[in-house]
Amino acid sequence: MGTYLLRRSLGIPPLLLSASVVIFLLLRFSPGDPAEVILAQSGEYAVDKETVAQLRREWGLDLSLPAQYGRWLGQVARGDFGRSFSTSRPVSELLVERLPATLQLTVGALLVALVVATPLGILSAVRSGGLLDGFCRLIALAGVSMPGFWLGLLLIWTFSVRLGWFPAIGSGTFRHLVLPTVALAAGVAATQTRLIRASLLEVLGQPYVDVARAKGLAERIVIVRHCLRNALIPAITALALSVGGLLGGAAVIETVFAYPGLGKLAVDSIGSRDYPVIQAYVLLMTLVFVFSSLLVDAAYSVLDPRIRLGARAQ
Amino acid sequence: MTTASALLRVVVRDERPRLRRRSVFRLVDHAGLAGALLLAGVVTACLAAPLLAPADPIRVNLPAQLQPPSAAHLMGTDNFGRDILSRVLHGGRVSLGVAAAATLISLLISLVLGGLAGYLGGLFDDLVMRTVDLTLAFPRLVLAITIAGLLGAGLGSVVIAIVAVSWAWYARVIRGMVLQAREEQYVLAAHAVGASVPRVLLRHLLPAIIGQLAVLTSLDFGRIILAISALSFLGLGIRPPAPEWGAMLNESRLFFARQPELMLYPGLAIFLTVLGANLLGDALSDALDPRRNRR
Repeated sequence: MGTYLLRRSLGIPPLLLSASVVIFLLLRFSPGDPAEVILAQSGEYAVDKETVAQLRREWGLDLSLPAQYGRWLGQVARGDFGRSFSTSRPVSELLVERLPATLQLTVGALLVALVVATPLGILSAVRSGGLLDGFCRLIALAGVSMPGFWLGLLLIWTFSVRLGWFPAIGSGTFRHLVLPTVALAAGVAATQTRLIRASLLEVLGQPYVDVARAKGLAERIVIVRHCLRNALIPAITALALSVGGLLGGAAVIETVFAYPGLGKLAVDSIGSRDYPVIQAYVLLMTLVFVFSSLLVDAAYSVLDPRIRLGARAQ
Repeated sequence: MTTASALLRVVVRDERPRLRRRSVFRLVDHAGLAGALLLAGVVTACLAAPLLAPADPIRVNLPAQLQPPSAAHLMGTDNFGRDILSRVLHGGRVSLGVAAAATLISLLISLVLGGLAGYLGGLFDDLVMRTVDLTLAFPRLVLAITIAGLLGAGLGSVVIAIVAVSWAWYARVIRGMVLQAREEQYVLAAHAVGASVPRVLLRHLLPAIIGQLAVLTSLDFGRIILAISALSFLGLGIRPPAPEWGAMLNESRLFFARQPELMLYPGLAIFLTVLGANLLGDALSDALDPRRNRR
């Protein structure tokens, strides 16, 4: 397991490095000049060439692309993400400020999704064909088909506007977290429920399950001891993808609830071409995504000895 | 299934889930058909929007602002007095059109790159797969939002953003299918009689994977619709006043506390479309390969 994970981790730095090049080029080749955009946004109507040129010099945008990239990479290596174009504040400060809110939201949503999906998926598979299964499948299908931000709007309408139980926007207290967490978690919970159900059903059809039953084992033991471990592997693999979905989904959900997280910061920064903030955001999200995939692989190899022993079919 | 385990099944009063599921939930058996009908219904309604829509989706009529549903306006009117039903119908043409364009372009790119990578192997394969890995390293929606945002609001930006994040996934799957099909006798035979690479790919390999491709596309179509609506909800899609489902939801945010219909119906339209695509995709993947896991 050690060597497998080591091999996997060794691939991460080059991947992140290439990713940083992609992000960098994406920004530099996109239309819209940050100096002009930010001057226009600050309310200066007559944007004169001199001011634009001065800002571009100040931000290092007048350098050649390799020089700009090299400078940025050097800074990032020292943990410095530069200063935001629009607010002039250090990007790392902005990120640190916004990170806790987004972490609360995404980690909360992930936990809620798992806590809801695991029992529902198992129950659905075990009681396959029954009324409960039909109900679970219907709910899960609705969950994967529903845009999270629409669910967010529906939740605001029901629980904030009509019932007044939870605040519609903002952050700070637990009550602020409830609606956005549910809106973000629903899709992941539904996907996981469907996956767990499908893979458990698949496992239940295997000959070794028949053997366990033929031995006279209680159904509960058959499910828990013999089936779950194998059945959860595909679900865990999909979890890495779900984390990626949560990171992007958070940006949308944060916008719905005017929740001051990283995603909202990024969406606003993209609008104003705030290169340092966008670069740091995308890089950070990619880092989280890549590491959660690694983590999932680690969990996977604990569950599946074939992988641990290095016999993984590519 | 070996004979021994088949016998075992009989002995231990087989309760094979798959069999039970079929008999009990009749409704679920017809889910694929329902999905196809639902999708067809939505597409037809949107295509026929100019005929069906009771009013002009763009013309402002301020005196009729924010009216609840009535006989004249079945879904009510928005903050500009525009008929919501007409906007939902016309908006669907945009949403579905963008989704169809993005799906087709992604498929085309990935068929060429994935197909060639799988068939040729070697350096080209390495190059394509490294690019695929790199693309898949980004969280899908994060990259899509960034690209669409940087390109500036517009339908083209949305299509490009969706294609940029979708092609890699398709390409990887298509490459896998081609790798499998490549060793089949008929492909080797075609190669042996001197068929050109495009000919082998188009005439021999494409038909072999087209079924799986249909499953893949229908399963992904719902996700693409969701991604597109998320982008336009963030204001990155079509420019106002043209209607589009995600954009309508975005515009509804200031007014839906007074007039919930504003966000109810465009969201419902997205939901039903994605539901139809998912039902159809599930049924197709079951029909074509009953043993495969549903993703």
